Amino acid sequence: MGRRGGEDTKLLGSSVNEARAFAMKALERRLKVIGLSPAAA
Amino acid sequence: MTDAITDRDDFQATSDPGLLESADRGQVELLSYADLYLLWERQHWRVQDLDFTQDRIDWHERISPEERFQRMYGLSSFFAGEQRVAAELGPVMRACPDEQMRIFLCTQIADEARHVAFFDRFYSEVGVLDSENLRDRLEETSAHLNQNFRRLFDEMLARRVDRLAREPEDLVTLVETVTLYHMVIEGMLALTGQHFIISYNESVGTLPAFVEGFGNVARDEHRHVAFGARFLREMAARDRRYRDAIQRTLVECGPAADGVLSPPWAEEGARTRSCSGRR
Repeated sequence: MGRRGGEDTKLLGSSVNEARAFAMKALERRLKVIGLSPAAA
Repeated sequence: MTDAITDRDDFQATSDPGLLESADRGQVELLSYADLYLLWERQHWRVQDLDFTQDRIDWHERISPEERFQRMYGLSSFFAGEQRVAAELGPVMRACPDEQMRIFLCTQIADEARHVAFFDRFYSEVGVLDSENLRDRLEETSAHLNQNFRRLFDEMLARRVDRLAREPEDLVTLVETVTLYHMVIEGMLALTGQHFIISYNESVGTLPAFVEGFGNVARDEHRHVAFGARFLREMAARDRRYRDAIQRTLVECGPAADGVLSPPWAEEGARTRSCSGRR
């Protein structure tokens, strides 16, 4: 679920890549608390 | 990812690790299932209390047809998504192996129903579409969804829930379903969309009642995600099979989830369409 190179569509003032980064940061935190590292996911 | 929205006390009260910097070190004291239930009692809200008068003016007079069309992707994903998860959660609740888990998931079913009612009232009061009832609004708004949304909800989630309905003792499938539902759909997609949609509306001063209600929806989602984090932590600690189920589900569903974050026109090329709705 990494970033797609070169693509960064804007939607209502934010880019898709900004949304991806936000979503991945939250997932990373939750997985750490669950006891799984996102790198292993 | 701390800012005015994620720092809200009522969001932080849920113990959703996604909101907490201490989670970067794996240090979060998750609420118990019983405490999450009590928090649900304290965080009630009423769709009928929202006044969409200004939202209706904003939608038709301050937001351009092109921007209304762009907004329809996010609105439709939420409206249809809330309807899907409200319909799917029953077998998940039944399959949970603990009474406290089931009690909390019963509250989540009520939340999801309220979220559908919220979007239905927003669409109706503001005149987003021409349709005159909930069923028709859902069908009309679904034209704005992309294929990844359908894969994630109508195939990946529905397949697992159907299995749980047939075999509620299947804990591996339950772990997969909670991973997909609470971590991916709610944690990654819904809360991300809510963050950016609320931020945008606040920055341009549009749709105040929608922002208020959508903030309440987001608070509910954080509470649900906190439940999912606790459940998955307990299951992952219990057996290697459950850890594998979480990882397997994230790998399988990741590409479709990533695709939901992109509006349809990202792949189709820029285009302009209008969305006039009913005044």
